[in-house]
Amino acid sequence: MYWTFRKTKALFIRAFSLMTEYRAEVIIWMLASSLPLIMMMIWMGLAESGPVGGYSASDFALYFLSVFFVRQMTTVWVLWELEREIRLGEMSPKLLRPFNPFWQHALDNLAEKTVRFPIVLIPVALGLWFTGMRPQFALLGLVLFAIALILAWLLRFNRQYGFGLLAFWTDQVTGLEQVWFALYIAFSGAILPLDLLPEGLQRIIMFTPFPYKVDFPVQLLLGNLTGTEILRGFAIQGFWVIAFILLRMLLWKRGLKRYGATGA
Amino acid sequence: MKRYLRLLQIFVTNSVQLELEYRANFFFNTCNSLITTATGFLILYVMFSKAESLGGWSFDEVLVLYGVYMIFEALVDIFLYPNLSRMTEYIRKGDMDFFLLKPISSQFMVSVRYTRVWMFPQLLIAFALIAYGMNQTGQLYLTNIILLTLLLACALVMVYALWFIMNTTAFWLVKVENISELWFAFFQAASFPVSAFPSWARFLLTFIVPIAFITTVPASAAVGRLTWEFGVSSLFVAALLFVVSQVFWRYAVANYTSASS
Repeated sequence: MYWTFRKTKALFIRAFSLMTEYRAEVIIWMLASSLPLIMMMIWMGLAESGPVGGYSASDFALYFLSVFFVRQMTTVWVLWELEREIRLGEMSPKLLRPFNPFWQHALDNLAEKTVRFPIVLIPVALGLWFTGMRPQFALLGLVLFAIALILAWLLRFNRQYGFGLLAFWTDQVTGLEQVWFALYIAFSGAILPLDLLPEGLQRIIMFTPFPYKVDFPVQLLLGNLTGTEILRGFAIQGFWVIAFILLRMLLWKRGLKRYGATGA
Repeated sequence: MKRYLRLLQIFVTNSVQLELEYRANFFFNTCNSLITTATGFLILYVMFSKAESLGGWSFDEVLVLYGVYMIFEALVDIFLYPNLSRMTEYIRKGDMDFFLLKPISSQFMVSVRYTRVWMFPQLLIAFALIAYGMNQTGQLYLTNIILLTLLLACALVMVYALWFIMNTTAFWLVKVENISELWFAFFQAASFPVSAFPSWARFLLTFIVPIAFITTVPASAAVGRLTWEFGVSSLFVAALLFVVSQVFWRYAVANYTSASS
């Protein structure tokens, strides 16, 4: 237990000092995912003359600012790292360390999130000020939101890690990732509140992992869900988190046997 | 000139060969482009099922605009992204020296070396969409088509110049590989008419990041909404950006000290 704590601390401090050096990049990455803010303006414009599908202009503002925050706090890029490490054989020295490389990647990501968090609050605060909103969140909503946000991060991280491990078999994982990303943009809530979609489509995507990455946590925060919807949401989100963790563990076990350690 | 065309042909052939080596990626990229296009239509469908107009534009007019957006989305993906995004790497690793030593224009060489062919179908869809939208709005006249072509050419110059300026900064900011990501983020705003944005954002998108001139202005010409001020400004902005990109490139190359030697 003590050693686990020491290892975790060492890994986190290493990752944190690395990330504070990349502040400029963190800002560029943040600007690069300003899509929700663009969509916010468009939807607010549409709602100027009256609510659109039950959303007023300020509802849209709050929805998309929350979407922006959730996406920022759950961003993952581990696939590109894994792809490079496996292709170039950089994975080899990592295998000699007394822990699974997964933990280092996970802590790298969490350290980056601690650097990113205060930076992300600036545009969110500016957005709230600009739209003149003073939102009041219920305590229960905030707690549920926090849980759903952590689950969303686990979902995204384990999913992408699993896809990244496919690099043990093929050198074309980034193409697959881009297809997944296109689906994620369409069905996660990044461009529109999902309850505005046609009913039939909503019923299908409800069972996919995508809504639980963004839309579900945001709707919890805004207090738009009923008791049964919340329970069902957590059940499906939890299912996908476990499914992707198992997939990642399986791919790791199988993939390691195939690993040729290029360059070693 | 003949030599440049011949070189271009060699580069394209080579790029196709490179693509065919990665067939799974070819498949994934086609899927990706289809999903992205479908998503664009889905948003427009949802928006127009709830509201009658988007920034004063009707559904058919927005389709024309979306077609113009798709043209530039495809062109960036076919020509600009694969070449100019490599520039950071050329400079960091010192490969830029090879380009500067070749007996042809270095700007030509770094601009057209690689092409990604799988986006060509999207270009065809885009032109079909524009023709359909123009026909639906009853604006399929020769004058509109000529104006559209002219303004598309201006927009093309702007897009190229903006990309070139963005990537020339790599000479100094060696670590900013993500700079083209900024383009993709902001360019998504161009899939909507600029009048659909709040007034302060409209100003930003017209004069600071001139995205309005790239899609809204050509599309306005196609559906007969163009005012002459915007048409003339478009020519002016294109010329200005082109000159800036040239001067900036010359300045950057003159100050380049190479990475390895």
